[in-house]
Amino acid sequence: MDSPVVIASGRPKPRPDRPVLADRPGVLAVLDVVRRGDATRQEIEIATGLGRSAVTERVRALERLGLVEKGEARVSSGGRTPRTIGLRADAGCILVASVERSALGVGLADLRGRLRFEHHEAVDPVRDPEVVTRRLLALFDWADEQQERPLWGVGLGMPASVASRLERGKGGGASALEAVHDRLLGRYRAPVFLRSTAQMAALGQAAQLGGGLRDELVYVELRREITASVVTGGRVQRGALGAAGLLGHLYAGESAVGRCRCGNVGCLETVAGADALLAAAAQAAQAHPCGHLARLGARGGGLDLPDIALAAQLGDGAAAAILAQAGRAIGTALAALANAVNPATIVLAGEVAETGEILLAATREALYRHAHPLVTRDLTIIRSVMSRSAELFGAALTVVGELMAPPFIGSWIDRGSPADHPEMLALLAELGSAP
Amino acid sequence: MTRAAILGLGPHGERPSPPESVTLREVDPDLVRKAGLRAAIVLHTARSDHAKQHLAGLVATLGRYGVAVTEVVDCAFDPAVQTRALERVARARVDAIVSLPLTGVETAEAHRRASACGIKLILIDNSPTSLLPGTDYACLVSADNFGLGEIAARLLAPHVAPGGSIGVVSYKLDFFASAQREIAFRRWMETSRPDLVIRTIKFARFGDVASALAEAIGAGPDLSGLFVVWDTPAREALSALAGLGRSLPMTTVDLGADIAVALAAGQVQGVAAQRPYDQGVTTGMATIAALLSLDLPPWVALPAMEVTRDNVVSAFQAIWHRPAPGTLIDLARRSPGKGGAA
Repeated sequence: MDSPVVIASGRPKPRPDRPVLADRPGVLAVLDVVRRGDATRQEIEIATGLGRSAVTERVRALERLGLVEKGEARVSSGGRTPRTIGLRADAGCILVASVERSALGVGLADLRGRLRFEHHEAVDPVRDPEVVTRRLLALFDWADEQQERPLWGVGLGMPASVASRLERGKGGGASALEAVHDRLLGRYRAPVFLRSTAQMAALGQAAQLGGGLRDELVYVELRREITASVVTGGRVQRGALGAAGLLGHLYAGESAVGRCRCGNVGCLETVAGADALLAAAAQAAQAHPCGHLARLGARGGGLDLPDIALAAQLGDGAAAAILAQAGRAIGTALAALANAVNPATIVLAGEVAETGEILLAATREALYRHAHPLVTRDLTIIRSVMSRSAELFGAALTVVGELMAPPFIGSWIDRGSPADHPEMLALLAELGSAP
Repeated sequence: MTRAAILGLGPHGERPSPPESVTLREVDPDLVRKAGLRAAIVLHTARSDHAKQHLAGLVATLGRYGVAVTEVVDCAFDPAVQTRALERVARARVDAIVSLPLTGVETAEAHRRASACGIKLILIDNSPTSLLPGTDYACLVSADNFGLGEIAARLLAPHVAPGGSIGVVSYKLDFFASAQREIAFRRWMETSRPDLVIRTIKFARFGDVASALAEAIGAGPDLSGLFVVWDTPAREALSALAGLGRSLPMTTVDLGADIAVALAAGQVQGVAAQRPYDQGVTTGMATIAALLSLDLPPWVALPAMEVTRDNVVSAFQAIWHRPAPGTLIDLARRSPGKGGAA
């Protein structure tokens, strides 16, 4: 995982009704193997160095704790058919959410990170953050009511890059976001992990991709904001302050003269962000009153990104030019990034990427033109099909990964639930929400 | 013409694309007709007015392009039946499957396996949670379910006194479309009528609505309004209320024939209507585009329509693509707004 959480020192006392672990390090070693993917007993033996009977005993201990279960049968290479051991998906559940400037997503995941429910809705970008927070809590309450499994953790992706309060002192955290963290913690009485939505999405997308595509990956979100998350060795690079990946604030060249919301002039977002495309489309609709853009805009409600895509698809030259120009600017910026980190895969995601092939083709063309040939030799460029699900999936994986990370789980495994982690209880006591 | 806004986002947070974004090139109709393609349709039910209308638009469109519909499966709201049906039609090697998935989780693998066989999968209304557009399915075509829920809330609110209690009669299965309606209904009420208390009344299958409602009314006789997530259970709720000697303001989704009459008669205060025939046509076009491997948006959404006693006749015509029955016209004439028949 990204960075291990700080845990309280000292070994917690097991609850009287929980089994006492005879070989805690061995049990945790076995769990550490199966949380990364289903494994047969033989594979666990190889990964942990434990003998067959020791593995069997420790798997039994984990089964008694309700943390693992038998999985699928594998092909036998002689003797009894081996069955895999995996995390028990239904032992608990995870609430996840992503908050963006214009959308809010909420999901419920099992302990394998699989989303069992998800819901996304638009939010007013200029709304009071408190209104958005209250809405988030209402949706979490509703999702939690729909299921009966114990809640093990909460994962939240936010626009700003932050660390959870459990990590305070390592990543730092804005006070307003800490307040959100504390409200979630007090309300749901389970560990809460905060990350940036871009980092959550990168993790979710990397996990969804198969084979060698996932390990060296750049995940680019093209929305109103443009961000790039770099995944190397399967880990999201968060940067010194957790703010890595502000691709939208790269200088887009002398032709970019607009002032960015960051205060600078000529940022990539001012030519290829969603707002820039919509402004250009509105201008084009005025300039070409007989064009498809003007016709779509005249239906009321203003133009949106799918309208630009549809107009281009119907042959509107101005719409196609807007998308192509944005694609070239994005591709040029990505070429610099690709030269710096040499990814195996670049994933383009977000509403701007969903406008279709014109923008994507221009992005590819500019990237190939400006990047070093060695960097692009085996480079795969794809458009994400996960949309905002990537953020929720990544949030679920983040929470499960953190809960099951060896130092953290060692403090709650024989207490039955991460909610009984000593530092969790201490935080709740500090908040005045202790049981 | 003014565009009706789509209020919701897609199952993966996608922005909606309009039906006209599903387009064919000039050469495509001939290409499809010459290919002799076959499609199967797997529906949650084929018995509701909504399903019949949707099917009519879908089959007519596929027929127009020469795609043979080899089977229409009525899953009777049973996920196990749907799973078996998907396996069967996949084995029959049809070229496309149009399916309305019954649950978010239980039927996901069956849909994924059918798609993995190389069959083009087009979804209606629901998307199983783990399936992704472009890889597991070609396109999702749905109504703006979020908009439907919000309309139902807006139409019910004026009929409920301050401080009242509203029952949301919702479906127990994890059904994306009805969950969207319920979430939107609650959001509108929480924002615009925070004085009202919202109570959940769940039903797992048809036939359970009456007992669930009787239990809810027994537990809280102060119930002063109902939102039922679609018209079939709404009909049951109306019968149940009549049996209990109660009458409550009610809104629902879908302008089925019976609910249209109940609306004109004043038994239902408003309907948030889908346009199932038009949606069927769009689904058919998306199927043709998918068969030709054309680029499709992940989520195509049709706007919701607000129907009250005042416009029920004209809405019926627009939605059903046929004249309204005489009973409906007569009942609507007696209302102050004359049912939009003028």
